[in-house]
Amino acid sequence: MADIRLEGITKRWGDVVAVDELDLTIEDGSFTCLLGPSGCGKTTTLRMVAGLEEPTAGRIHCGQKLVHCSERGISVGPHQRGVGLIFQSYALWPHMTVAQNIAFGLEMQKMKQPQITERVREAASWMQIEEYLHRYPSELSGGQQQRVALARSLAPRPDCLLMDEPLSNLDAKLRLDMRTELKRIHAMTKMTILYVTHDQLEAISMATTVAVMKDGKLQQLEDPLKLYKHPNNMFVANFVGSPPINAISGQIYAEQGVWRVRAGDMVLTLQKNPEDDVKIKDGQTVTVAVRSEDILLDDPSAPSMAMTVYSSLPTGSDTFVRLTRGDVGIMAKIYESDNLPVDSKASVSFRPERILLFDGDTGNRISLGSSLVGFNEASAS
Amino acid sequence: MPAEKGGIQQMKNQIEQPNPGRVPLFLERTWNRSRRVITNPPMLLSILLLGVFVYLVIVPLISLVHSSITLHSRDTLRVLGGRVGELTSFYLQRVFASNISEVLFYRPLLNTILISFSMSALAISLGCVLAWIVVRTDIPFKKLFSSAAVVPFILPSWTISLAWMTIFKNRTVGGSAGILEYFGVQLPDWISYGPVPIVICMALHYYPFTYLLVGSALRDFDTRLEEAALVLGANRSVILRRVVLAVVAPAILSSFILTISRGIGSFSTPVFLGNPINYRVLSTRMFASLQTGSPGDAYVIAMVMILLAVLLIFLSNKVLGKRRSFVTITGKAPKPQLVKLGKLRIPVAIAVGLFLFSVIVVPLFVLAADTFMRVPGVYSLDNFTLHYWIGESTPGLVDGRPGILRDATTWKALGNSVKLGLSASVLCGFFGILIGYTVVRMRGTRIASILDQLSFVPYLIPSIAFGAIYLSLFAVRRGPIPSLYGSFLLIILATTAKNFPFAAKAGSSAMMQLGHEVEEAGIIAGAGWFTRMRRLILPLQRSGLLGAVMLPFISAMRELSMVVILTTPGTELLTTLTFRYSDYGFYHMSNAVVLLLVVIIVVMQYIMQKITGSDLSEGLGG
Repeated sequence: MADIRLEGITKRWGDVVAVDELDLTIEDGSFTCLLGPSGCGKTTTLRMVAGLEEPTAGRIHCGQKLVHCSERGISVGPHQRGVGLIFQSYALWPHMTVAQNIAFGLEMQKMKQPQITERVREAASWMQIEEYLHRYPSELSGGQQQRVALARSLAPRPDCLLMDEPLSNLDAKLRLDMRTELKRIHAMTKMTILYVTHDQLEAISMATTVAVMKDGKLQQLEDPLKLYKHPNNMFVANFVGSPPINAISGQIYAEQGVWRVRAGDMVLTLQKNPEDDVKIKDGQTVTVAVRSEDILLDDPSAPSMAMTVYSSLPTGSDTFVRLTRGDVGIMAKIYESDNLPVDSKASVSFRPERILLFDGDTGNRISLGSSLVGFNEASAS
Repeated sequence: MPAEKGGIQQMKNQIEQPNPGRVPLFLERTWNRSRRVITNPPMLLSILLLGVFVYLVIVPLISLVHSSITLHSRDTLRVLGGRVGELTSFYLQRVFASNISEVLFYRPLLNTILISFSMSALAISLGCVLAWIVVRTDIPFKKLFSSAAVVPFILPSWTISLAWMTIFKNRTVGGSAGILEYFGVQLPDWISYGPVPIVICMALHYYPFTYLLVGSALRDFDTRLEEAALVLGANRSVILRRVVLAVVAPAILSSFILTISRGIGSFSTPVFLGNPINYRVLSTRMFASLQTGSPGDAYVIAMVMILLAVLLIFLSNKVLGKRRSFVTITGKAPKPQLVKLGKLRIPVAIAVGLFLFSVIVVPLFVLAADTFMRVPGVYSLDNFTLHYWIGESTPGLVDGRPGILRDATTWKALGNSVKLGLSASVLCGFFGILIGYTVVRMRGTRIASILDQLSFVPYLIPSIAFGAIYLSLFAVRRGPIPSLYGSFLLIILATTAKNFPFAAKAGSSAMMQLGHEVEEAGIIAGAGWFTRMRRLILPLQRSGLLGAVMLPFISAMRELSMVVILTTPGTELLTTLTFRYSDYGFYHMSNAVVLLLVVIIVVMQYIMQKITGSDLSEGLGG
């Protein structure tokens, strides 16, 4: 068992920088998700950890072992790193049966035949594919192939399991099944898992740690639930969560312990969060960001503002309501099924301590969560 | 984050320490890196393959140029004070600017251009019409027609020429006359020999290029485009002209390039139908120069042929490069709506049937019939004989040679052909897989693109010029390499090298399909390179490998123009044997050997299609 440390890892192809000075520690026994949009460098990072791609600069440690060091030209082969890898396409060898696929890595470790048989059976039983051991991959469904790929990676008992978007070829239902399965495997084996995905839901629901990447740079390394609640910047706030976070742009003014944000024809008065310790400039552009589920409709206990229902989309369990006021538009998620008529009026308030503030220029977070304490219409001046 | 950053900085400092003053960092880095590059199998392979290509393709090309500007031993007396091996412009001058240039170069050049263009025009018209009828109309017997239409290309290219002679030969060059003369039809020379029959016979051999390319373009053609035009009120002929033709244009253009570049290098048809009346094209002129002991002239002409071919490919890339987008917009269209021929349906089917009958069945039948006649040109039953097939040696009849099935010469030639086919195809398959593997693995690096381009070079060189190149390189001893002329190895080398482009293409497309993850999964599992090749990659390449092996085999079996200048009596092949027999005027024997060859090739082709399930269009180059 081992942690994986990446220090100053950079990967360049010509002028294209895929990964840019990445410092990242994957804790021993963690389930770390590399999350980001396509082209953010997450798969490249994973392949560099596996040893399939060589970093242009930087160092990688697997536990005590230095497996890559650009300065010294050291690069240890993949099989000496103690990693298993699950490919997006599974990459099962089509000319071998399931059992032969699983046994291959064990043979390469010069294991004795009885032991191989034992290990193959064991891995197959973990993944509940014992009955398919003598079939060829083409005779299996996508979900079964995925299980075989997992068994093949688990059989040699690697210290660390790397997975590259393993569920993206499955349909929605199987994906849900496999997520529960993967989370159990992690709990059972206590193995370090590095998991690449662009699906924020996958990351939040399975990982113990999520690393959000963008343009080859690490944006935030965080516990998944904290990540959702306290994104470091506007990119993370937007990328994590569905529907995307509501963003209202405005100018901020500090005034006697409160912030006033002027956005369109509204002035929002926000109570600072006691943990916030940020200096702001009067008149600075900020983004007020609120998750859909933190928007409340017709709640008399909180200060509210009047908005118009643009349209409402009930799903059965809850309802998405699109609300507008002037140029400002937000999407609320309310936990009841209701079909609000188009163009009806609604009074909108925000759940306390859930209003995030981001710097309008840099996108960095200003507030961990403020509360709306007042609402005014902007004076004509 | 700031706190963590500090921690990592500290860690960095710690790690940079353990190597103080022992070995300079950059030395350690260079040592480690170069060790890894050198032990990287794809890298090693690229270097190895680069060596093979340089030796089998580049060096021969250079040697050709060199041979055309250095004095050969026979010509020392013709150049004042000339010594062997001296640089000279003697050959260039003689070919391009002397009183024999006209016969030696300009007229053959003109003939070559004339024949290539008219042949291509005819072949393309035939191919287009046939493709359109078979793909887009409701003609009956579609399946039969569509597979029969490509048969002329599978047959050796001179089959039709030999059949033409058997039918249309007149008495100009002595010997027996053709069938028509026998029935009292007086034939002028221009029907029996020269440009007209050459153009027709070549067009009948090469139209399948157009048929296949245009046919597949029409098949992928989104008929909704047509329907859109129909809805907008265009009539059938406008649609055909402005929509169908416009979309198929790139396919027509590429088949034009394919056809005409073959036309430039074509040897066998002009040699059979042009030589009797001294009608020469570049290839036959070059061959004559070689035979009459003027290799210098031959090499100059070979260079011109290569330049012509390269020019054509270059032009086609320029034109096609711009228009390729036309081809790619075809999506998966609904099943094309077939054009209803109505009352014309049966007559058109009969016409197509007759055409295919007369270019496939008639020539083969005529050739076969000819081999069963004791005295050539006497078409009566009592003239029937099996002598030319199984007869004992009879003095006075074809120099007292026994029937071809009894003749040791035939079996030896057959043995040689098979040997050549097997060795060339095994070598090609081997290299094809290696080239494919290397190019795909090293993709994006300079060495991969160099390899990719080098493997394509033999395609640019007309076969007969390719033969000349090998002759020029290996005719004499050069450094450590002994003279290979007359050896079977030379023929194998040349055939292998000539087939590199197809082998490489088959190999790399098979590798592309395989993707890199299959191998990477093996790397992760800890399998070494040889284990990965043996247990993971090769087993999955079986059908691709078969394609890379079978194509060169078939193409080696029917290759004439390249090997004709490399074979000697000891290394006779079936193809060169037919050529020699026909040269002696033993048309029966020649025809019989061709038939034997046809049987072998058709069987091989059939087996290949059954096993690989591959389309004939892959064999376009063969």
